[in-house]
Amino acid sequence: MSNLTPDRLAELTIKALERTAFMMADPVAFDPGAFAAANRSAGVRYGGPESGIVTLHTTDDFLRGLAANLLGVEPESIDLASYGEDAIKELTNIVGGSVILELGGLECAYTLGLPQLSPPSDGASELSRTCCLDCEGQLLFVTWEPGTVPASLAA
Amino acid sequence: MSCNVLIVDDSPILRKAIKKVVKLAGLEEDRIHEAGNGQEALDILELVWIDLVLLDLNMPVMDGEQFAQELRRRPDLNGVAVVIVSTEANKDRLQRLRDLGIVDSLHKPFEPEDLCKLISKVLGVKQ
Repeated sequence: MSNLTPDRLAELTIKALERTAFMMADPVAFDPGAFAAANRSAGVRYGGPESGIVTLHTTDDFLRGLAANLLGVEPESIDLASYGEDAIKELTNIVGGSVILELGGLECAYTLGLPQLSPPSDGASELSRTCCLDCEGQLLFVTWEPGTVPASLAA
Repeated sequence: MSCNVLIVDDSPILRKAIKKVVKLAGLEEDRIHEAGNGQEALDILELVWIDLVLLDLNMPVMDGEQFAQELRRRPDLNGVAVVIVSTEANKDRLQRLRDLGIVDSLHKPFEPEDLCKLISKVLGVKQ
C-alpha cells in the first residue's frame, strides 16, 4: 500500500493554499482540543490501484479567511452561508487532487470523486494520518485514510 | 482583448477566483462567462460565440469529459478551444480528452501566472 506521511500531506496542503488562495501556512503540533472544535468538514474519495479518502476539518473563521482570499475581499464581508461550504469543498478537491498525483505520479491511474461535506470527526482512529496547519492564525486539519472505500465506489 | 472566455466549474467561488486571473490576462469582464456544469456551458455556447473554454472535469449533471465529447459531435462548436483546469490526474482520462482535441491542461493548484500564460498562448496573444 502506498504511503503518505503527515509531513508530506502538510507540504501538499501548504502548496494548495499558497497557489489557490495566496494563504501562508505552517505545520504545527496536533492539538486535540482544536481538532474537536473543528466544526466544518469535507471529504473526497478516490479510487484506482488503491482507494481512500482525504478529509479536511476546520472552523468557520478559517473558512471565512479562505473564501475572502479566493474572492479578493475582506473576511468581514464574507457570508459563510453562501461561500463557506463551497470554499471547503473546493479546497478539499484540490488537496485530494494533489494526493492522487502524489500517489500515482505522471502515470497516475487514480480518479477523484466529487467533494462532499461530512460531519465533524472525533478523530479517534485518524491521528497518525493527520497533519495540522496554522494558517494565518487559524487551524486546518487534513486527514488521509487509505483503503477506506472500495475502489469501484470511489470515483 | 476582444475574445470571449467561458469558465466551466461547479464551484462558484473558484469560478470567481479564475475570473480574476482571466481579467489579469487582459480580458474584459463582460467577455468572461460562467457555467456550473457541462450542460450550462452548452446552453451558453448556443447563445454566445466563445473563443476559449476553461473546463473543470469533475462536475455534477454533465461532467467535463461528457461536455468535450458533445462539443466534438457538434460541427458548429467543433472549433472552440478547450483547456482543462482541474484536479484530474488520471493519464487515461487525460489522453481521451487529448484525443477529443483538448488543446492543453492545467492541474489545480496552479500558479495564476501559468493560467495567464496559457490563456495568452491559446488565444494567440503576447503578454
